Amino acid sequence: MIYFDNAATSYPKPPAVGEALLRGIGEYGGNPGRGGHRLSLAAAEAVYDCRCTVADFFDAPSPECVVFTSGATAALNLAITTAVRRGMHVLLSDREHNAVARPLYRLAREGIIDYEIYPTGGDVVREIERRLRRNTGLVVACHVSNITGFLLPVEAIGALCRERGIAFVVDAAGSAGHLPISLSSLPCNALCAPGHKGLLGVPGVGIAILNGWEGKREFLVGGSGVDSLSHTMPSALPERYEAGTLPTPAILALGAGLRHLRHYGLARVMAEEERLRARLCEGLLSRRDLRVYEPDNRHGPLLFTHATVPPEEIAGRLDNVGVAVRAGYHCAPLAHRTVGTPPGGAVRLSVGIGNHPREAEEFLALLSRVLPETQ
Amino acid sequence: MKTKIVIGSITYAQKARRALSAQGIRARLIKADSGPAEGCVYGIELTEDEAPAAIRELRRLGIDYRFLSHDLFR
Repeated sequence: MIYFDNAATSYPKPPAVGEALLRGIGEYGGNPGRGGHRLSLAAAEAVYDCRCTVADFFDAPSPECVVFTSGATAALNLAITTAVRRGMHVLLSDREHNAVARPLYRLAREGIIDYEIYPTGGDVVREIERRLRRNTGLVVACHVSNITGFLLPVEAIGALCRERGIAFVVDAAGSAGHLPISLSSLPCNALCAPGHKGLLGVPGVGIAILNGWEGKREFLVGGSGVDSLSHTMPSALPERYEAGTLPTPAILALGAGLRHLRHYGLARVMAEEERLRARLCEGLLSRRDLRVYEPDNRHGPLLFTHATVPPEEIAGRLDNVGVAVRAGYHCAPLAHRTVGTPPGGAVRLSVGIGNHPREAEEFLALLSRVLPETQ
Repeated sequence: MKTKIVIGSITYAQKARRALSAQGIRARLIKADSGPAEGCVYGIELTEDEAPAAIRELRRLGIDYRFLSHDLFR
């Protein structure tokens, strides 16, 4: 099988990830932070180890800034929901995933905020600056587009937000584990990422790294393991935003994924993915019946459409010959509109650490077989 | 004799335990009696002899603690 759907979830996982997952239901099978017996405390220590690993991987100021969530969507909902207050103006890019857009649409529907979408085609920082109002309190940007790999200048956007005292949330779903991210140089207040994509963990955990966070409200509320008599969540991070039992197996798997990336080397991951992507892009561009969207991007997914065959039909034909790709809108209708895909969306190829260099040639040959070039 | 330093958050108790360990002070993570706190709490347990040095280190690191176990019996 050729798996080019790593932007949906990375596959295959390193063996150490599976082993860690099993340790999470065996050796560390107690409930972390919910008891004083040795199985519970051992689980808590294993979770804390992973918190430290995450903090170290992203150069976060401290382990307690790392909030574990159920995924990137939950992390983004947490960041967005707790950042806003009534009457706030929010800016989001024209590349955002529904995990960013829908929470903002809902807040706007409820009359809590109003939002504006800034274009990314030109000088992004200038476009944001032009739209700032006195009540602008939050800017959201994806680091890398989940459909074309378009890279947003998050360092510069963050610098502007810091200068103006505006909260800045980065959706790193497309970049975490693919590109280096250091919170010592990226001025953002919340960095949100899934555990199961580039970070090589399994579904069920995500992270929100909160840096200088001024949460205006609670998010998910419930059991926190401490301060149980209080009617509110604890004030300190990470417990403030970690209501309910943490998914120890998924957290341990994430820790193993991060250690694998460290051992393998992020620079090597980048170089290999970039080479594979470039060869795929070259092959797609060589066909006159295909349109590749933003082919000059160097990282992230490749997006293409055919002159006459619909995306889902292409994905189905590829699946029949053992190639996994994703067609449609990729939960990012804003980004699709921005790059101008037709109704039905497009086909997305997303490579990852598990791919072999020869798979580019194999894929292009299989594509020619199931979708012969039309003259 | 053992002294319990009640911190509250399990994450900060873990941070405290590891920081003390780095200074050669052995402490154990515990779920403590809540005492005057608002429900369940976590902390660390260590020998009474090492408690003063531990407290100094926690203050230096800015890790707040709620009370020491012997406060409960005053």
